[in-house]
Amino acid sequence: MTPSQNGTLNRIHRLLMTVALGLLLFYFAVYLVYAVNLIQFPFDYDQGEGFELVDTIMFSKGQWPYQSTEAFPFYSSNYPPLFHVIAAPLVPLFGTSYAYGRLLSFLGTLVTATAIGYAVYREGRNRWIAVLSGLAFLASNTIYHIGPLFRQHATMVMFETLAIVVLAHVNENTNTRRRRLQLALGLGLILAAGYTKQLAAITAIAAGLFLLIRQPQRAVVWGLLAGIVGAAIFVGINVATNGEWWRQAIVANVNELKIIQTVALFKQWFGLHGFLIIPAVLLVIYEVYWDRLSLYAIWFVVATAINGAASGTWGGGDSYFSTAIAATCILSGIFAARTIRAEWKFPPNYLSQLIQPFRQYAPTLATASLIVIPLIYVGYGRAVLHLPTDQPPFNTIANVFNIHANAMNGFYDSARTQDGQYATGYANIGHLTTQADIDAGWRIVDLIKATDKPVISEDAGFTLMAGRPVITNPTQLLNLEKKGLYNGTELVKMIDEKAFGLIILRAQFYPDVVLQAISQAYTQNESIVMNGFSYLILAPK
Amino acid sequence: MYVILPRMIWNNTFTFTKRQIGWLLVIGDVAAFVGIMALNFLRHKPVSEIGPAQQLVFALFAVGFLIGLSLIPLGDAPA
Repeated sequence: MTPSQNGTLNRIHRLLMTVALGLLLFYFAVYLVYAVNLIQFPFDYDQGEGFELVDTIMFSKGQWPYQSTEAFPFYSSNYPPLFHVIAAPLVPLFGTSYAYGRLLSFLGTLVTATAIGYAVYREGRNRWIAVLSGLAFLASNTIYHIGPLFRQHATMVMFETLAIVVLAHVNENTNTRRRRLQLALGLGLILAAGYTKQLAAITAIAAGLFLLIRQPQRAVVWGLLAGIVGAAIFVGINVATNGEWWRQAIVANVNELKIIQTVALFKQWFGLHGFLIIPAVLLVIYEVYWDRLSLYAIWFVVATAINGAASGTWGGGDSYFSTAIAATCILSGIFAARTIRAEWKFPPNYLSQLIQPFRQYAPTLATASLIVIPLIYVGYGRAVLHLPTDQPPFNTIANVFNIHANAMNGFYDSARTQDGQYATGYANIGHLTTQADIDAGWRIVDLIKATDKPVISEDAGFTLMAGRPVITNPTQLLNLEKKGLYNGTELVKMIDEKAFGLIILRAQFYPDVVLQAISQAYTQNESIVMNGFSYLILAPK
Repeated sequence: MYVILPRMIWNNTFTFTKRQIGWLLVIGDVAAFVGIMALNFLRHKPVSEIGPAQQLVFALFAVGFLIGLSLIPLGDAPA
């Protein structure tokens, strides 16, 4: 290739990289707008957010949320404590609000994206690809819609990613003191992830396998140490809660698997992230046969297989792919950077013979990669298309590209069909909230304030904003019922006696025995639509 | 076995090879398959009643088994 051809190619490469960067920065802008919108929204946006706020408020008062659901107020939580403990100091400062939990979660995704970018830069030494990899994480439809929620998932992924980045090269560290600090920090971050959400167990498995393969002695010693610390915290919480931690957060949290949901979510995950999954898988195959297995590769395989399968459980969903998405972004970034730098080496083995005929094309492939790699990120950007179609400046873009809303409040999401259908288990969120949604929420709060009696609300936000005690956590009652651990006598007795001024239902995720009691003693007065969901307001018959 | 295990666990320089990982995958997948089938047998569950979740697990075992077999010829290359 002549120097002038080389110059032209480099200019095209930079142009395509700029297009890819512009596209992913556009999604970052959409993400920022969405986060600011949600942080200002005073009620539950995603099912269950309010109960995370309840947990946070309880921790701020020095109370455990793991308690018996058989006695008034019938409340318990199935979430580990760390996310709520981190948010708890903000309760005295900002009061009962979703804002700080959502902000913390959102900031956590930015930390994760930065860690992904750092890992890719460390391995590939290409700033463009490092930035694209971090932005690709935030551009994922799944990360976008769960990122700014008052939920622990994004914070768990942050701790997991930081742990993986810290541990990835621990074995190469020849300074004993620093290596020990690195191991302690990495395993501490895994424990933090586990005490943020139980799903982080897969990162512990991946790190354990990696350490075991590279140096079994180190894996056993440090695995034991981490196990002792983790077990001591576990036993401590269990003793402090009279065994309710074990019952509520562990036993009740193991749910049945719906294989149809798993398959649907796997298809959707590949459909949205396929442009990055293929390079990631190619890098894993390369490491398996021609290089050493990296922690990133093991993490990717374990997270995809186990969390992907678990996405089909009751309470699961597309968010269970978040860890795999983080790993995908790292591996695809390393693949892209290595390809651009033409750094692939194939040590001789029986499989290298299969590569041999293609060796003559290596220079051509290296040149083509300057075009193909940025196009991969452009293709990914097209696959994850999501934006509000009715709010400036996004409405202009939607008009120019003829994009029509397929979700609530004028939102377009490529994870859905044009008529709004989506895979079972995919979270029905991502749209912006409106002033009408806020007004509807305050109407429900006014109804609660108008009664002197306690109120059961399926979303905790309304009772919290009315300054009333939160009664029960419906999904937790359902979790317990599915495990045969729920009786419900006292709650049903109070419903029969019409002890509650109102009952506010949304998805009706209560045990059958509770729903039957409600249908016999209460009748629907009105229905208020907020955030696209109908809230049924039931009063005593 | 009694010689290999201490060498593995208490040796600072020991690292698994591709061949060893290959054998571990082959043996592990076969053992897990036999174990699940044995459990099905003890629970009087005929092969025709194996559900989609178990079928998925068996498919993963098969993939792991094949990867394991393909790793064995790679010899002493570090894993």
